[in-house]
Amino acid sequence: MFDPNGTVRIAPWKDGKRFAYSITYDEGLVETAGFAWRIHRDYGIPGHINVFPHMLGKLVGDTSAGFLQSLWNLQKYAELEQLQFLLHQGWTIGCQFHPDERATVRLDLEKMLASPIRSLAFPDFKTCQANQEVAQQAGFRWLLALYDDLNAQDEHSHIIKRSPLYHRGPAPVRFAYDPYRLLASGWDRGGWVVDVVRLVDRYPLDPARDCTPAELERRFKAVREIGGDQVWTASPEAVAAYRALRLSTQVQGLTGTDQEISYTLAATDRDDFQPWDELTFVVNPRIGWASPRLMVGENILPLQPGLEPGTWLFTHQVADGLQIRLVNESGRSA
Amino acid sequence: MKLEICRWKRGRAFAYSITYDEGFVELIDYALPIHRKYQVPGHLVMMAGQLGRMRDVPSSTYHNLRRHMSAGQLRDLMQEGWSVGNHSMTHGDLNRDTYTEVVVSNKVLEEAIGQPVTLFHLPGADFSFAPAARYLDEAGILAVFFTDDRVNGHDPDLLGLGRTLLYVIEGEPLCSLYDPFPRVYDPYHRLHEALDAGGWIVDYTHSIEPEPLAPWKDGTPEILEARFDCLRRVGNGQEWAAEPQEIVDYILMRRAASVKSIQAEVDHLKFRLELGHVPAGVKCQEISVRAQLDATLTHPPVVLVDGEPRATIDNFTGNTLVFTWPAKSGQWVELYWKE
Repeated sequence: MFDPNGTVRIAPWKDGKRFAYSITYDEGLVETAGFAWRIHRDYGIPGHINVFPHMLGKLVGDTSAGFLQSLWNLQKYAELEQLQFLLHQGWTIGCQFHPDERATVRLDLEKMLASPIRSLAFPDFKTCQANQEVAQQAGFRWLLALYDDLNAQDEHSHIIKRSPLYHRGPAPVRFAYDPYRLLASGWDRGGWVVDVVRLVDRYPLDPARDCTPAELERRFKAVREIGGDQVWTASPEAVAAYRALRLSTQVQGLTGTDQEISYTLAATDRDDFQPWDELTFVVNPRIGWASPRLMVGENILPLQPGLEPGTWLFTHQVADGLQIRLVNESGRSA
Repeated sequence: MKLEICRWKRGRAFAYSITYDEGFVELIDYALPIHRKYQVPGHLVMMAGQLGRMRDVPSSTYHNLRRHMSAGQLRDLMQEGWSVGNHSMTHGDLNRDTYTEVVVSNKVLEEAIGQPVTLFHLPGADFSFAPAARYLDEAGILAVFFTDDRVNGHDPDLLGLGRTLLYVIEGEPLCSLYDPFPRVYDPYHRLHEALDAGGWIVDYTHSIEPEPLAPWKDGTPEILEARFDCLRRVGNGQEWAAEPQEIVDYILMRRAASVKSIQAEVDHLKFRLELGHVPAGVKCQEISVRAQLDATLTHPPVVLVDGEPRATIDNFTGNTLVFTWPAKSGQWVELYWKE
């Protein structure tokens, strides 16, 4: 008798990874493109940078543009070409919140980059909460807040919590850089760690917001040390899209025998931007299939062994009503 | 053949302590059982002027709401391996009546517990250090703790030690004293960093209660247990969990100690321990040494100190031996083994 319970489930994170890690850069300063991207490339971790769309290529503290003087005077905002380069490296780009910015800023940046812009970064948590509705009306799907905690795998939220990579608060309590911050809890709880840092430079201007290239690299080493091959390192938009799609997708009509399982997907929150419309499925026939075959429509697709014995994994684009069939190949031929 | 004085006692890879500012009586019900379970001794940071009394600090979150432990309660906990540090006389501005806040308070505490008090924990902000600094020697203070959230190195500045905060949640929307964003406690906080650096974590919190009065600076029993569980799992036997006075004592002993006149033979090793200046307040005068032998042995060597079996064997792996003993200058230490 076929028992459907536990036979098919959607993996918490892509490719069946145990937890997820992302990193974001606020303010869109040019040094991020200079120092950070090489370390990202070496560790295979795509980044995400938030920019003021109308300040691209300008000097920080350029009061003629209506921006106040800041700690980063004599620094420069990244050029459009540098952002395009980062996009080609697999990074994603979002907008940085500014109270004087127009509501159409997202569309302006989309036009400049010819790429979807879906996230807005805030300098703190309170501003994020206060502007949540306006931001969503402007078409921002993900709101990047400052909130030093893990993002849970089953959290239905458009607000993404980001933990400062380097932070020293004012007295009486000062917090120093910790390359292992939240990673072990990410592993334990299957959560999602999202770092935030402003500037990556040899001589950080503000120790409360910046870090050195060596500190960034130490962080990535710690991510690999704790996560091994079980950490999904991806842009925060890719991870957020996966989580949202997973939470809104249901496996329906599951039927089967000891030689075949079939089901249909009900997906109501598909992302319209490729390739973030994929989910990873974990299949556990529990009847000792030796070489199962995956069929989506008439197509035969490969399966990978899962982490747990007797389980199999596959990642596939999700569409509402998509029919998926798994057949025990060795059972058939026998 | 190689001999070295261990970075941490018993050859452990990193050190861990936990301190409780104000020493409220709730710790006896909610923290002590967890300390016993995980065999981690605590450290109570006491305001000398209000032992056994309801808190009378009008600016404090706990004013008239929590009671400090009495001298008797402190002595009871010291029987279980806990220790006591000084948090000034009134928890006030140390620029006023500094002598009373630092020196007299230390004497009051020492009389109350019948033991030297050698650790000072600054009340309030960092600016308390400047006035206190002039009186530390007179008070017999060996180490001063700030509230910088960082791992202390293995050879730290003892007058500028950091402590890492244990709490539930802090920042908005609860209370934004320190940060412009909320921060949720991570029970692994800095443990991997300490292991990696061979450093020393000193946790600090205030009360431990099921429903803390000040979740941005108090913990719950669940969080404390999660913290100790993470400590034991990350440490995996390589952690030295001790009250901070013992750790400061060890650092000072290690700094004063040197190994001299090493005589190595096929089945015999002998050396002399020399101690430089050891401050008067150092109570626990032990030293741990790691000996790396040329031979691989099936049984640990016999260790004699001035001809007596006074050393404890902490670890033996065939060709590496870690041992600890109560150290005195000029002692001869001998290791004998047979193949």
